[in-house]
Amino acid sequence: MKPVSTKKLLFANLKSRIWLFLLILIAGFFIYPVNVLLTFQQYRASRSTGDSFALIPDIHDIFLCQQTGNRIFLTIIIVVAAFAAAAAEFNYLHKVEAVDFWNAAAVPRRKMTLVSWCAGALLVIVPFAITYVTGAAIAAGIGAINGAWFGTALVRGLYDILLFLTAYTFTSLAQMIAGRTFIGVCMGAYFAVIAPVFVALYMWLADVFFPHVPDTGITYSMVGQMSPILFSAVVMTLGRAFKLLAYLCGGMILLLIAAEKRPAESAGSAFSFRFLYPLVKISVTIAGALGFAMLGTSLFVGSSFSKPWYFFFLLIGGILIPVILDLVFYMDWRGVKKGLKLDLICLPVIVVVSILFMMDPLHVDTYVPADNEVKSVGISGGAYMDWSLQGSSDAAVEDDPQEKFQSENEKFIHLTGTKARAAAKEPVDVYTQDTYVVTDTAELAEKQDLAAAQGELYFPESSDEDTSSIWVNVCWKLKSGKTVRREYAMTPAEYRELLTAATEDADYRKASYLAGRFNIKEGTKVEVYSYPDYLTQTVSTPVNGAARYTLLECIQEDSEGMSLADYLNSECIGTVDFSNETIQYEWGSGDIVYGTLNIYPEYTKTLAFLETLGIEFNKEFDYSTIRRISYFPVGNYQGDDAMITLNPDQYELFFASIKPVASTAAAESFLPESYEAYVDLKDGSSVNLTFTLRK
Amino acid sequence: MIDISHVTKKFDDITALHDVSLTIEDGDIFGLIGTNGAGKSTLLRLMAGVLKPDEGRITIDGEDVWENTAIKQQICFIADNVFFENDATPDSAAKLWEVLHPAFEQERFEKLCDKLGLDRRRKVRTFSKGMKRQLSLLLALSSGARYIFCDETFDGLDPVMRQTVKGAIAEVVYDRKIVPVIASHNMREIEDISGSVGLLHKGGVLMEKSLDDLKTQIQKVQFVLKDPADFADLTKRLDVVSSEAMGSMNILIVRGGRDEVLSTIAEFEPVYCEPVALTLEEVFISETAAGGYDLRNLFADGGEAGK
Repeated sequence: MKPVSTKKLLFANLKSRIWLFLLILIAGFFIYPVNVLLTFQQYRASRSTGDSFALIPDIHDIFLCQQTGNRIFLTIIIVVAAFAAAAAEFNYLHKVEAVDFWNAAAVPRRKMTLVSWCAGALLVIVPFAITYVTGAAIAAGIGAINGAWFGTALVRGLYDILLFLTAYTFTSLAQMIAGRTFIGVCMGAYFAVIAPVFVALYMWLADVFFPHVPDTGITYSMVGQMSPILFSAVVMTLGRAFKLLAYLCGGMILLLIAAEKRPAESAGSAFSFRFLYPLVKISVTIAGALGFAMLGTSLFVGSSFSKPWYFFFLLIGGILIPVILDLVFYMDWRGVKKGLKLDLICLPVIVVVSILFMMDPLHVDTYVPADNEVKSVGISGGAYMDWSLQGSSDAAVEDDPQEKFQSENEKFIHLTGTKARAAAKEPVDVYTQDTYVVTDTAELAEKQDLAAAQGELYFPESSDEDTSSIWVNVCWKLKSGKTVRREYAMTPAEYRELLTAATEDADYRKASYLAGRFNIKEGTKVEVYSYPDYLTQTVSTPVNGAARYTLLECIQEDSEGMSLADYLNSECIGTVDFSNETIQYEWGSGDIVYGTLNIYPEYTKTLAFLETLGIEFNKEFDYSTIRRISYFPVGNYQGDDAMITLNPDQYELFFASIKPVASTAAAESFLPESYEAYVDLKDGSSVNLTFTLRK
Repeated sequence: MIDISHVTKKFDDITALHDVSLTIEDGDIFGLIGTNGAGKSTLLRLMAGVLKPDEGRITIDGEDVWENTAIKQQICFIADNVFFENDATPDSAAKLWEVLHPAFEQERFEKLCDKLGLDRRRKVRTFSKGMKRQLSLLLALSSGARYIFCDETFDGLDPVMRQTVKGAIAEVVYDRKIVPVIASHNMREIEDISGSVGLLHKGGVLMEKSLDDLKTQIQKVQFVLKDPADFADLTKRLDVVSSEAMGSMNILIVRGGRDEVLSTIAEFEPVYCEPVALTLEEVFISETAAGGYDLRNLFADGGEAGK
């Protein structure tokens, strides 16, 4: 007898699920062709009214999704499509009559699974490709894209297809190991969220018993690492594409193994493999109860952390979550009684894990080393960051070469001795909200006019600065070789106090907090900008060969003699940019500038050396090149637009009143009363200028 | 030939089948009888390769059924709850069956549909339960498969349709030498069509025999003796399975050949003596009584339904 034709089987499958194809086609039609046409229409309308509207970047963003919001939207669409395709293709496993029919067919299980998987993939990818290419063709027709850009868009499209296939494979696996479609959807979410959280929790606990003591931010990065969708969705890199491919292959292998081993009689049960339920229950309960405790504490108690409340919500979560899981699994209230035995194991485990979290017996979370343990301390601070997968987490570091370089080179201020330990304080209230200054535009204009009449510029005092928080990383390197990192929330004033104390320390200055992080390797590019070119990044002078080392030594020596107070009182007259890598972006290429060192008038040795290279630092800003200067007089504002725009006759006064600040130096980031100005030049370029007022 | 050898199947704590052994010869219509929960559906699923036995082996023509596509191509399984795709019509269902059974006979299917009055363009979801079962049977009979396993397939069919379907089955058995295995709790249905029967009870096989063999070995006779006192002597000379009296009329079920039994009774010069046709139920009850099973209550509902 002839075997069952794979092509015919696939075609029969596609025919019966054509609704999914149409759904994706409609969605894709709106995301691509319609979106392109609407964007073009908006552009034409804006041109006619004289407003600026950039057609090409916005059209490019439809396909490349470089804006995070668009990227997240597309990722949601991809994930929903993956869940829908998996449920459509594999729900036959969850109905007894369908299982009887298909399992009795003369088609091997593996083949059946592959045919179903391929059908689901085609039902999504084909309409996506049709609408994507159609949209691109329309965009080309209106002149918004050119041939060179097509390659970039194609790569982006292929990456999104890879992302979908990976998500789809795991949602298919979820449907395969579940006995009901709803449970399959829950298992898909489990793969994306719960399992990574549980693995992260386990890895964190494992780290407790091993020498390396991790940063508290690692849990979040682990969640991202273990969830291919969450981690790889937003940023597209070759490394992440390979990671997705590895996940895809691993997922397919698991899918095929599960397909072969799956007992047909499990249709209608919660799980097709009985051993899964205890595993899922324990992991969901532990992760869920801990999360419930943290959520409950933050929602109901506010920002104050309180152990009794934490344990209260932990117990509530530890009891509620298994009950809900039993109800879902057994579909019967009596199932709760059956699941009691496992609950009695889960609850003590949760309590033990929580105690480890909170009491920190091995000093994971709250440990501050004793003086005699410390070899050196590093401190770095930054602006307030949201809790996310950014910042100090290793996840962000791995794929971003700049972050990696900076992390490797430890952008810390290194201190020795007891000063640093004394400077590191207990965490302040980490949930402090920024307060805002309400600005009345009419009142502001009146005060501005009054100041202008007196030949001055109006800069009201900003009193909100000290209520905002910044995160400060303190890193102790111990004599034992361990590294202990803590994050502290401080006000900028507290941080300045810390730095002041640090820079008055001779050992600290000798460590040269500014220049110590830089490494001249082969291929490092060094470019010098003098004021005002460093503001516009227009004219630079390269420093090549051995002169680069000499320059860095000069800066290091000059900076050793300056305290934080000296920096606060001085002003930057130029910068030296160090870049180590030329990186290819989707839109072209650019040099990664790994750091910038500021040049000050007090850097006598440096200035003398640069003079021998023919680089001068006595240039002045050519005011005739300025088209407009605007600035916000207050740091944060609420209300009407409070931007002040200067008249041309105020430009000279403006530059005489301010000290431009290059924002990369750690000290200058936290200068009081710093402002932002927007300088638009006549040649169409513009400069974002951070400055403080001359005293 | 289908050979089921020491097959056991468990679902969690429930043993659906325990050490079941059966042989189903080619050229026969095999009836699988059992009450609800006896294990009939499970056995059919095992035979069709839907489930895998925990112990034992099921072979067809010497080859294991499980994940054997060559053997499974010769099998067509009609489950108790028949499956059709959403929005299927008989025509679209036939197209799907053609994909899964390359030997599917479209012409035969159309002829059968016309004969039974099924509208091939109508949506299957608008069919009654009986019509769905009809359709599934017609698809099976047109599939070109050599083994057709039917699970309670006649349930839901009206009497006229039952006869028509039975005729269609008999026709294909004769024409194409297919081997139907029909599971039911309705003995009357099985008795009409099957050549051999197997009786399942609580996961085990109580009996497996050819109907002819069964019926030639047991006789049911009703008679009236001249002298009622002779009854005791008569029963001593016969291998009596069961005895019933209605006034002076005695009804005996005895083991033995027909001629032998009648001649023994004739020696007592009965006023009236006539052999009566045995139902399959009576045969089973008789046979299993010897094994210590009292099946009279077991098949009370099935017997009533069959009458």
